[in-house]
Amino acid sequence: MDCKEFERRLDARLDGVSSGELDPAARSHADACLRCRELEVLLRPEELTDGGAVPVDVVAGVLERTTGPSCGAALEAIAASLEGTLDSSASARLEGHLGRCPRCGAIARVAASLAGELPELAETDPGPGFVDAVMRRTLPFSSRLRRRWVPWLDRIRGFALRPRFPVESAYAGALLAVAALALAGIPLGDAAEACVRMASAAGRSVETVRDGSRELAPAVAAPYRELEQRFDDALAGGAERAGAAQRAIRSWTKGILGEFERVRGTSDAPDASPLPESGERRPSRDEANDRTKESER
Amino acid sequence: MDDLGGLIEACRGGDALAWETLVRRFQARIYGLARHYVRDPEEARDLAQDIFVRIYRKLGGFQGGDAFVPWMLRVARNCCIDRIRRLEARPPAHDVPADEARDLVARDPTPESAGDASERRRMIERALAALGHDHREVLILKEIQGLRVEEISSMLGVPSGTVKSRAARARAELARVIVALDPSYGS
Repeated sequence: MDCKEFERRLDARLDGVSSGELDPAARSHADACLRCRELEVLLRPEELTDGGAVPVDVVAGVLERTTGPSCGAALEAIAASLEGTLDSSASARLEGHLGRCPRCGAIARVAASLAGELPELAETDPGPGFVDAVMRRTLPFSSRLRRRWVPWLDRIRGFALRPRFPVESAYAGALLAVAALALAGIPLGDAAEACVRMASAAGRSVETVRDGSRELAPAVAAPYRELEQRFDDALAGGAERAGAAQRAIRSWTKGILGEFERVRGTSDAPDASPLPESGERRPSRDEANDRTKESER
Repeated sequence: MDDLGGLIEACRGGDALAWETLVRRFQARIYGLARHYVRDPEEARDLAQDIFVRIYRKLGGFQGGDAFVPWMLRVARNCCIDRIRRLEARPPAHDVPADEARDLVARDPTPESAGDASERRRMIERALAALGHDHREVLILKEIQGLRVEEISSMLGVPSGTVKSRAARARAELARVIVALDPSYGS
């Protein structure tokens, strides 16, 4: 059935030729064709006589065929209302539309509520490690190092400035030294005693610590003497061929011992005596040991 | 909390701790802004770092303590635009059909965001992602970041009236998209 045929059947109904109800073919066409359905509603006998309310779908049909749906204009009006540029008459028209259109009503409500919700989106946590990543990319290495260690250095400085820190650290150092000697398998005897003496002395004064160091000096001097003697013995057979090397080694050893004596501050000690020059008789190992023992005493 | 002007002066003087404080104070805001421009969280994180690097380099040329936030957001916005251009110029790893790409935009960004954002927030973010660039940007700057109309006008190079009307239309459009995504929203 086409629209012309549908209109003929409507005319027949109005003329009383046919009954009030449309036949199935006309009904099917009206369901498929908005224009004919609208025409059928408008020309329905009861609508023409009692002047009842216009069905909503008729309004939609008219709008579709004239200005188009008004929801787009309503959205513009909602925006203007948000902007505050909607005059009173336009505002009343918008209210009228919102009252009849649930979807536009919902849009208007959501648009109004967004004013309070959008600012909450301003901040988002970037997660751990973000600041460190930025610092790595912006600051030079030295500044990063300082930034990382300044708090720790402050703590260490505060700890070190405590009044008892020298005494405590001296004892701790002594204990560590004893532990190290023990682990190395060195007899603890004199060394441990000297370490403890040194630690005790550190708590009293720096001068006392220096004295404690002097007490250790002879024990260190003996290995140096021994070393020197071994060099002498090794080179004795080839003195003429290795004269230059011998003199160099002598000079080196002499320099070390001189420096050692200077640190000890005991220039008048027997160990501080000048080494025999090349060509003089060298003291034997026994003689050297005797001299070492004498200096220890 | 440190005075912002003093903090900025200390940063300009090379104080690393002041710079760290400044980064900590604005990291969430800059990352939030980056997330609205590029929705991938990793991309946004990298972009936010780039923004801070650029702020650090430009800090010497900054004038005036009160206008720091608008200045910072202007730098951030330019950085975001540069990144978007680069991303658009970069060919995708594989061809994505248009419909599929739209679905990707509308989908939740990552499971990570589900943990820290409310349902409403996620809904708004989805709707924002569906808006056109101009509408989204003016909403980000005006409604989300809270910049004044004059500042946005100067930043975007458009008249103040255009900013106002664009912002109102964008808000209505955002509401329309939200209702389309979830008709029960706000009821």
